[in-house]
Amino acid sequence: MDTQSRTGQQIIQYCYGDPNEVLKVEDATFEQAITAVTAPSKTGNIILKF
Amino acid sequence: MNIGIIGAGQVAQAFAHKAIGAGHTVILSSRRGPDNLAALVEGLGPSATAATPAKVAENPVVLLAVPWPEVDAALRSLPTWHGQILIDATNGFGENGLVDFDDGSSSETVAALAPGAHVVKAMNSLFMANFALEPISDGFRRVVFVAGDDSAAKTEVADLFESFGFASIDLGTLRKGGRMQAVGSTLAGHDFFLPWPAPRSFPAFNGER
Repeated sequence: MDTQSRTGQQIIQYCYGDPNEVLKVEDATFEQAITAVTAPSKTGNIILKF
Repeated sequence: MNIGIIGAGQVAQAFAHKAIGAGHTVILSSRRGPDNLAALVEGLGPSATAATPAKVAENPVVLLAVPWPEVDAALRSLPTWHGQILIDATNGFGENGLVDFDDGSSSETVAALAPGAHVVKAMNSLFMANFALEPISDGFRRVVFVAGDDSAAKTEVADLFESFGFASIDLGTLRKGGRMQAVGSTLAGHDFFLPWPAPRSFPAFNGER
């Protein structure tokens, strides 16, 4: 990861119906975080918190 | 607000329903002429009318919702734009699949075909079946991403979608934000929600512009 783009911001994702499935993406750009939360293994509606 | 719509297909109709539901008036158009839209307009109710594409483009906000192969002809047939907002809901998907815009975006092509308009890319990441659903669910709002090079126009479009009940997220410029939400992109096809109220931009991302 390019350290110049680190910001300390985060996006949290989980799927409806399973709030325990939480993925935190920290120190990432928006594109990096979105790429992580839209990984093929992740399904369902995505809740973003930033 | 009076909103013109160029196109009368699935995207145009889904948008029209949401706009009317939020108290706006829509004027639809099709290349086949306004008379062919009589049944559609009647179904949408008294807040919908039909007109020619040229007449529709006179409105302060205009939605472009035609298949990509028709974009060029649709925009070239219109009179000169004078600062109206053009919401680009088209997908760069042609007869041979995804169109290659090299390092640019489909909306930059749209903007080049509509000089004088303030183009804002929106609605591209959502399946229309999801867009048509109730945008507010359990305290969360479904996200509509927006992108554009004119901040005032982008704010007005973000306000418009929020008046429909959505949450708007600013993705940046037509090039970067347009590419991010375009068909085939990372965001495309996913159904995003935000707790409401929410910030309209991701600070780190906007800081990179």
